[in-house]
Amino acid sequence: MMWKQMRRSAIKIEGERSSSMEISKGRLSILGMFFVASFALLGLRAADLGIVQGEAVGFEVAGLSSVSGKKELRRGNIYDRNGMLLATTIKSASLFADPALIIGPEKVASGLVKMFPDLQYKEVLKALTAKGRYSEIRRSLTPAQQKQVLTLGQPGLGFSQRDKRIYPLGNGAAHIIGFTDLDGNGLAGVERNFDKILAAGEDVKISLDMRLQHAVKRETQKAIDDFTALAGAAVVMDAKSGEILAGVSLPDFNLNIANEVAGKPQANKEYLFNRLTLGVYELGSMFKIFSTAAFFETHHDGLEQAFDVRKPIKIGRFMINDFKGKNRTLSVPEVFIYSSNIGTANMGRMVGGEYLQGFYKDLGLLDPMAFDIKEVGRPKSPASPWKEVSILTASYGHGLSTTPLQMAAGVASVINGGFKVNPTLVLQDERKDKNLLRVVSGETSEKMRKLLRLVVTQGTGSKAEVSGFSVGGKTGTAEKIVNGRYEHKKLISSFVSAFPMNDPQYIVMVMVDEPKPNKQSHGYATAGWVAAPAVGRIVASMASIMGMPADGYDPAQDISLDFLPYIKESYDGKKVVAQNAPIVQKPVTEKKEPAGLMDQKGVQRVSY
Amino acid sequence: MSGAWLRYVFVGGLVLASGANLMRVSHGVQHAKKEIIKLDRSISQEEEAIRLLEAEWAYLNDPERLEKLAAGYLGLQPAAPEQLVSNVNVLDEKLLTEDVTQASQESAIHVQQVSYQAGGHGQ
Repeated sequence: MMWKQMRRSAIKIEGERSSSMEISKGRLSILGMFFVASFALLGLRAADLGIVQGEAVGFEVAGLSSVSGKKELRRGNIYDRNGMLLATTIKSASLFADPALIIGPEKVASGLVKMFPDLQYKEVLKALTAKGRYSEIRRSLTPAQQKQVLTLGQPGLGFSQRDKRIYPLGNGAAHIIGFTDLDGNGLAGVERNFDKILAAGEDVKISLDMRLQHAVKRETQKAIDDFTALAGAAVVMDAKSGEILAGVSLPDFNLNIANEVAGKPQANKEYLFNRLTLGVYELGSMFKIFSTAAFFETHHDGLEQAFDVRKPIKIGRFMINDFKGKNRTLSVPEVFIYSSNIGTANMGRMVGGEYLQGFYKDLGLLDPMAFDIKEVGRPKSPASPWKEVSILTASYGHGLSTTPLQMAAGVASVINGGFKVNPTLVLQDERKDKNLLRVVSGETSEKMRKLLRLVVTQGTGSKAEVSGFSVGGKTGTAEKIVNGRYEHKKLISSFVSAFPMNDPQYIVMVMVDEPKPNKQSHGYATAGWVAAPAVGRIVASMASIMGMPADGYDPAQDISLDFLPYIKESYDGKKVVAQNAPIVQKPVTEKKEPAGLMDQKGVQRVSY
Repeated sequence: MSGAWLRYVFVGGLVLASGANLMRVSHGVQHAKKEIIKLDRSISQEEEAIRLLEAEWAYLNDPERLEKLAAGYLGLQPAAPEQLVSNVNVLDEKLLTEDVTQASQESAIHVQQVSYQAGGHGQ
């Protein structure tokens, strides 16, 4: 019913506008309204993009990706702790020729040889007349040289850009920074260990201070030159955080030609070898620091002990003797500052093999260290469990070899209050709550600081003294093992130190490989003559480099004063001068010698 | 009749005007895009130049190089620890007597007069 009504009204409406013109006009207006609506929509959209979302779209356009293509990813830079640039990647232009387009190759060749005297005319001519469309002529052109080539006006000469890794400081910290191959992959050092981060374009900042690095290298090289030595290594480390401020291995090489050097590894192995972290050496008497600390840890009255060092210890084929022995009874401080093997071996026996080996292990001396570069050496020690002879010899460092860096870290752990130090190239955030691992008690740490200070004021390390810095340390001179035998004339002379001894900030260590005696040293090439003076010079240079004035030190407050009563005379036989020292009873107890075995001819081991 | 004709003219004009504006905007966008590419390239060049300069700066500041230059041209040696003090008050009082202060004041005035003459022109 409704339908009929609607149809009638529709007809009625249509009837009122019945002409076809009217119909088409209606349709046109509907079409017109549709177009107006569409354009209105477009206008709204334009307003939306331009005004409402304006800024966001603007940034997107300014972003390089949408217009000019992806931005190149460049390998990250390496900086030292002060922001000095150590490694960066720049675009380097190479000169190439398209032989097909070269006109008058002889003239071009002679022109090029004039510009680049290192090129050979024959080689260049060959390149210009070769088959093919691309022959490389020369790498690494400076912009000025590129301009010069353009003056030749040769269409057949062109430049190709490639990324080149350069090291502005040349030889500086070569073994630590490392280098890359021609494709930019890290092959050694920081370049290798941090390769992923660098390849992602991130910059890396390491803990080295290149000003100090230079001073340390200078003084170590001087020690090597003065004593005509083969090689050397040195490190300056923060005694609390383990940050390495300077790490030197000599001889070194220029990182900018590293690919050439590494390309002939056998010929250049002396230069490429990192003696600080990869080299494993018998460092000798430095282990007395650890065995003495172990003695204090296990014997709370240890300071009152005394040892008769008149007779050498014979055990098996072995004879343990002292270098320039004092031939009397020595107190524990005296055993330490005269570096007596006999006294130390007796202390080691009292500590026991299990504790001693465990203690060395806890200090990180027996195992390869986890470090920020991959070139890490493998320490050697007697087979476990230690037999009696091994316990005796291990207490004064015989038969144990480790890397200089691990030795420095071990010493830091003992003297910094007793907390384990892990050497690192990464800047440590001081405010972070660190899990501090205690390796010795605070009391033992303090006793060891006093002993180390005494070594410098009264003992074998006197040449390391720098007035005002309260330098303490320990000498270590060991014979090198060549073809399974100890060589009497081939020594590893080292000195490890810490300063200022009342609250040590830094560890400074120098190792010299095969020093030879010179005139000034009266025929000696031992650590006290070779390495200790180098350490002293480094400490002296740290005054101005690190801004450490020396005028805060008061000799009357020296940390070692209360140990002076235990010392009868200095290592050089001079009288001990004590200022304001309290008077303490001399120790009375004596330790018996071990039951001697039959005297047999054996290898005499001398270490100081 | 003429009213309708005017309307067509008006609308036709609008169409032409909007068309022209569209062309203008489109042209402007093309131009802007070209500008961006040009700027990108010069930014890259500047960035490369900065990298080269950073590397050169580091090379010039190599402590080994500076030490050689300082020793060679200035006769300077590494400073000894004794040359550093933590506090000016530590210096010997003799250095700060009246005579010295007087003399230094006089020489300061002299320097001022000299520079006054050299600089000339009032001030």
